[in-house]
Amino acid sequence: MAPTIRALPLISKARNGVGAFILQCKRMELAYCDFGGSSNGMKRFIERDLPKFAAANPQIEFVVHPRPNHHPTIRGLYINGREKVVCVRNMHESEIIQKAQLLRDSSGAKIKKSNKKVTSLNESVRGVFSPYHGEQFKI
Amino acid sequence: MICLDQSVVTSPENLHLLGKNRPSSGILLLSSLSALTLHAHAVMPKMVRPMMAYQPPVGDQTCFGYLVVTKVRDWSAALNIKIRIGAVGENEWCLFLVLMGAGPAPISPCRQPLTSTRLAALHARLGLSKSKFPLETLAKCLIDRTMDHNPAVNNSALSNLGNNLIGYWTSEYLLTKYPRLPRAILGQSVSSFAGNKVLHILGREWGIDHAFMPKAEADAGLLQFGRVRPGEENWMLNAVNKRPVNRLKLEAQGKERQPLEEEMGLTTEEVEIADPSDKKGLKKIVVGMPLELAYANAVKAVFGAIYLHEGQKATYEFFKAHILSRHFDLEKVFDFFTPTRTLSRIAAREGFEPPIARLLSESGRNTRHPVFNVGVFSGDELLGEGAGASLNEARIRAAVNALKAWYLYSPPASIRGDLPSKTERDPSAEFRGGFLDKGDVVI
Repeated sequence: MAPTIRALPLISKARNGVGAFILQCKRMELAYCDFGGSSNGMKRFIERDLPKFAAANPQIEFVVHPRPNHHPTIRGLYINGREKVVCVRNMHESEIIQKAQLLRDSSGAKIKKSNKKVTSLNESVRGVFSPYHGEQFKI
Repeated sequence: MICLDQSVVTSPENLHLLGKNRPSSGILLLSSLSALTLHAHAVMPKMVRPMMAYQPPVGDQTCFGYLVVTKVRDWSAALNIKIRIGAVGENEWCLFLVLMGAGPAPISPCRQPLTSTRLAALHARLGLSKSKFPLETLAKCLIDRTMDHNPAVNNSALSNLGNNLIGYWTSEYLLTKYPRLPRAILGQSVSSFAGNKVLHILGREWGIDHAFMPKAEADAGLLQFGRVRPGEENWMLNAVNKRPVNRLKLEAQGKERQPLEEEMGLTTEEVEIADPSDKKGLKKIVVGMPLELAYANAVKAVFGAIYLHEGQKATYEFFKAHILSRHFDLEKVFDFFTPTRTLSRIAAREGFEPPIARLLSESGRNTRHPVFNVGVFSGDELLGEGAGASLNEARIRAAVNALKAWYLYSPPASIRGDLPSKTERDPSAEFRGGFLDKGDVVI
């Protein structure tokens, strides 16, 4: 009696959003300077808009910390281990919130060009063309 | 230029007077060399976590206490306060301000489950119930038994429960959907969906981070476990070598057979030592855990904890969303040793006519790249079709396709049986039995 079949050790792949959706931005660090004028917008953002923004995005851990003598930044840390940093010097609160939204919505992956209209793990429903089926070409 | 008395500057409790947290930071200038050193000390004070304040209710992931700090202009007064408790907004948040240099450092809030921002964010990211699933349980899920041997504190019990749930639900789903799966394929498919390797990846995809060699001060939102340290391979080998002997002994004495570690979702890669509290030296405690296993246990523990706090329905929804939704091509798992013989055996057992391979079409027989298209027929019925560069290759591919078509039969939804766990989730639901196959063939 011999085994007729063997199983290959493969593992399933994640499809974020098909079942559960995990927001890829997991931490946002907001740095400001108490002294410098380029942080004025950032400080107003932190005081006025951040509570609302944080409450709307409970999946993200927000850290506010001073960075004296430097321009203010927003740093997004992502699940894939990468990070994205945006310098928000001299920006108005309304511009800063757009940058925060950009970091929140980003996947953290490097930006790459996609030439395909559809990218999918699933096989084509129609199948691949086969010259051996259907009406065959006769010389 | 600011002149400071040297004794004031060098005393450690006054270092904070210089540097980052002073409103005047950055404009401090001293001229001599020693003064420059002092300056360096001053502007780079001992690295501590940023000052944070927390909001105890579930769901807070912010550090707004800092905002309050920035508003405090009277720094000398603020620095004398060790813990400042205030009320902000409608929720009356308690703000714990941990201030540098203000007496003995109190326990950092991030160590407490209720005040760890990382933990609160993870709670929200997983979409756990705010009212039912407490943060303390999530913190418990992240404490491995190698971190704390007390089963009331670590995740071992929850992880065991989660392991059973995940294993049961995955196998019943696969068996109901593909009733003819051979045993070897079924076992592999279950671990392809919910094995330790996948659960480790899942934990990473949830954004769980681990603490490096954690002590008690680790953030409650980090996975904490004891590492398998270099040089401990001997322990591992001893543990592996001892186990089968012990099991055989138990069996010889007629005692209940111990479950295999593999069946419990554990592997023999753990490092265990004798429990010092046990005089007879029979009890063992695990002191080192591979990273993959620690993550898998934490993820299983989250499933177990949802089951306890939110009930079976919510856990099953969570399971579907996080495990069954993953992409897995079952067809690629099959590896046949003798496909044509196996196909013949199945045909004989099922009473079909013996399978015969026939050439359906071909091209370029005498060229460098011939293609043959072969079909395997049982009587007039086409069982499978395959293309190959030689007649034999095409015949074998056709047999493999026929076998896959047989084994991967999935009853249409109209006649497919219900999942056995359906009645557990809803006792009043009607249950329809499914299709049961005869099983593998033997050559």
